[in-house]
Amino acid sequence: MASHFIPAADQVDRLQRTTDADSLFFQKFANQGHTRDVGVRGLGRQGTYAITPSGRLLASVNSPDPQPVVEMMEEALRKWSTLSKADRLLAEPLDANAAAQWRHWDKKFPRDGLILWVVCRDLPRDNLPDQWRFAWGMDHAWFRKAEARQFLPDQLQVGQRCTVPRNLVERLARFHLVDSVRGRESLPYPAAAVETAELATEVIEIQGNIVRVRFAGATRTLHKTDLFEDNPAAQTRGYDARLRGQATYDMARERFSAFELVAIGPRRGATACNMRIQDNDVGPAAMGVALTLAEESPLHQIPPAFLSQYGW
Amino acid sequence: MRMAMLLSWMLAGLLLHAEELTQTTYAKWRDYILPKPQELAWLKIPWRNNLWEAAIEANQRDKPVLLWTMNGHPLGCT
Repeated sequence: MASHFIPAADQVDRLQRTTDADSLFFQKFANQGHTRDVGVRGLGRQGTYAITPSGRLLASVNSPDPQPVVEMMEEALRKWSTLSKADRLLAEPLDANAAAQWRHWDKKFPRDGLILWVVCRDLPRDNLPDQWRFAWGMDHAWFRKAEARQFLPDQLQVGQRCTVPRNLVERLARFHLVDSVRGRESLPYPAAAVETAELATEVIEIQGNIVRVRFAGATRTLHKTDLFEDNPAAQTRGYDARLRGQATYDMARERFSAFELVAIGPRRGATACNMRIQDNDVGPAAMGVALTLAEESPLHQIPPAFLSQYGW
Repeated sequence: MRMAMLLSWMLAGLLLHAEELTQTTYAKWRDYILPKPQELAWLKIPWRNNLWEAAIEANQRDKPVLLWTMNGHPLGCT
């Protein structure tokens, strides 16, 4: 059934509140759907919408279960079949160039740098609730070309070692070694919360232009928030991680061709959106984060959740 | 399917539970953390990564748009 649609994914927290052309386009049909009674700044506009290219709502639903979404899609296709071409389509297409006004992050995408896919998951323990047993979260981490090169020693020779600059490891600690297992970590760690941010690299093999390295390090964040005043264990959040990994760098292309970094350690605390407070799962409990080289695909060109904090 | 996944998960967890993160063991932890193929089935759908471009393409191809939208980008951090 998906082949009958043009499937798209986009970020509702921007679409529902700005006055960019795509946001206004969204608001017009969203105001007719399952969230029509929700205020502009409410959190209720999440969901799945089927629309005509002319912006007419066909059907919508907000459900994590497949059956209601399938039923919504069937309803949408029934309505689509009753519409004339004039009602379905725009006589004047939307302006493709307009997107440059709001997709400012596209200009920051480090095409020749290092794009990492970041996945986090709870590690095995006896009291993992069934509802969250298979939960995992993801994000992306970006490094510009010159920054990526700083993950390696200046001299690329077997046995050479280096310390990755602290500012790059801090980026990982503050924005990417975070608890988004159940839901988006809504609060980055402030710089002062980073107690440890260390990553060392050693060149272990060179074959032609290909350099293989291994990583070892540790990060520790600790941050007392002003959330959950009646729950001190939830207020103090942090992640105490040991880091290990390997990577392969192509000297001819000046890019990483493989990158794996794994973080393991106890996380603690909770934030407003990461769904830990609801069952008081505030730790300490083991969490793992895996950072791997992202595939070159539009699916992996989504900006990091905390890109605005990078200082770019 | 869900029971099979649960059992394999529990077994992997038992095997990993006592293992520290070292240069030798990090790959096992990586494999545990990264999503399994069945957890990535949704990525087989050819998602356009924004509504605007999808609407333009849909207008060209005379098809409806199916928009999945969340707080945080669904293809990123939500």
